Amino acid sequence: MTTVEVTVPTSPGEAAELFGDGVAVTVVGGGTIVVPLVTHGQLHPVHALMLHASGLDELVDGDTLTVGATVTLARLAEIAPEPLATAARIPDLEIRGQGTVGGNLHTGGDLQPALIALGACVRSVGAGGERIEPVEDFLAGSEPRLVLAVELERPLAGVYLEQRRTHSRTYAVLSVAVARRDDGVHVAVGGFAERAHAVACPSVERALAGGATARDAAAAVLEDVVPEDDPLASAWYRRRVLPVLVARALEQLEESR
Amino acid sequence: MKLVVNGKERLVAAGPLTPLLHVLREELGLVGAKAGCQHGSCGTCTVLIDGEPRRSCLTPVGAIEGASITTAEALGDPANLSVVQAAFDEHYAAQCGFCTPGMLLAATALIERKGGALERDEVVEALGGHYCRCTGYVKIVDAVVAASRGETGTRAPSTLEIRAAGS
Ligand SMILES: Cc1cc2nc3c(=O)[nH]c(=O)nc-3n(C[C@H](O)[C@H](O)[C@H](O)COP(=O)(O)OP(=O)(O)OC[C@H]3O[C@@H](n4cnc5c(N)ncnc54)[C@H](O)[C@@H]3O)c2cc1C
Ligand code: FES
Ligand code: FES
Repeated sequence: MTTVEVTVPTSPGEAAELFGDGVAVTVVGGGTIVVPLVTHGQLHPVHALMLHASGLDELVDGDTLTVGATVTLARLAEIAPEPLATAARIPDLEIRGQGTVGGNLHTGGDLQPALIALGACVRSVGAGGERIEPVEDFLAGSEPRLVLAVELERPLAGVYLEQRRTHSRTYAVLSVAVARRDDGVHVAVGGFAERAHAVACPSVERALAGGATARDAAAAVLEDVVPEDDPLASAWYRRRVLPVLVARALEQLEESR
Repeated sequence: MKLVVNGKERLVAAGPLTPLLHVLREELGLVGAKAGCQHGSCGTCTVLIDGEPRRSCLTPVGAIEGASITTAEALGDPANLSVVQAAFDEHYAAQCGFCTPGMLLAATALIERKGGALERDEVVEALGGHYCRCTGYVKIVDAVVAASRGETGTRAPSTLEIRAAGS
């Protein structure tokens, strides 16, 4: 390994300062993705910013739920509303205890669709300073940002369903999150293509608002995403299964009334 | 930096991004934690960090300064097996043994956390991230359930125990 400069900030402000514009900075949250990349020579960090002592692990459970970037999936699963709690309860106990929210957001993880369905916002810092934006806008961005926290309102109800991943993949074959909020039912899906981040499903939401049944509304999901072939599943399979999974999630949401 | 490994304070020279697994095996000469996939996927490198099961191949040592680490070496020796080790022995829960250190530590932590008789699905959930290529898992689950109920000590001493007693 070439020499790497490692910094360990001890406050959120110091973390933001050391991150700067994020160019050539490798952030280490729980390290469950980053550490093996370094071990196997697939990543050669120049500046590594280790967040374990940064104080970004605050969880504030009020009207708005504020989840610091280094809160682990295990801690999140204990307090989060659905669909986020099930998404955070990833099957591997040791990874659940070590992986963080900030890292999960960056790696196509299961939290993405749940956070979109909840209308969550991401507070981040980077070039241009601190900003807060809807999680979808954050995911669509391309310049480096340091995640500080995720903020969300508790929904009326929520359901998360997933087509089981192959063990140790960072993303699911397919995932669906639905949430009933004050302004209606929100739907997001993930895992439909390798390296794609999760997205909202406005066509499904419009169909629901127009009074369509769960099954008819779910069929519209293929207007919102274009499933692809990748090593986990074929596009054909995903096109067949995704509407079924969305319909099941919506039916379960209906039952939870 | 300092670590407390199996109750002893140890000084570590490795850089902060070095996985704990390499520090244990290469710097401290503790080879109980196995280097399997080194990708977080197999579980055999699992150790306890402040009592919690963690993948040592994924843990940058710089993030756990001062932490207390428990490896398989601390569990028991052939003449004096821990309850979980004895249960694994009695239930034939180890074949090649490569997955065993991680299984033992995850099971030990689970039994401590739940503190009572475990159901099979609790064991399956807690060990879900651990691969075993030999046993088919049934005997491992049998062993952990038995250990959680304190049901060990029912079998005649193993060759290991006899050899250790004679040496
Ligand atoms: C065996 C195994 C099973 C897994 N199973 C699942 C699963 O079922 N579901 C799932 O969703 N994921 C799973 N994962 C993937 C992963 O471990 C988790 O998504 C985890 O939450 C990643 O978080 P981390 O903090 O460990 O990431 P890290 O390795 O620390 O970081 C990952 C990426 O995010 C960046 N990053 C981290 N924190 C921040 C921050 N605050 N701001 C900006 N960038 C940041 C890093 O620079 C890096 O690029 C699994 C991984 C393994 C090894
Ligand atoms: S070696 Fe760490 S999980 Fe396989
Ligand atoms: S005993 Fe061989 S891998 Fe489990």
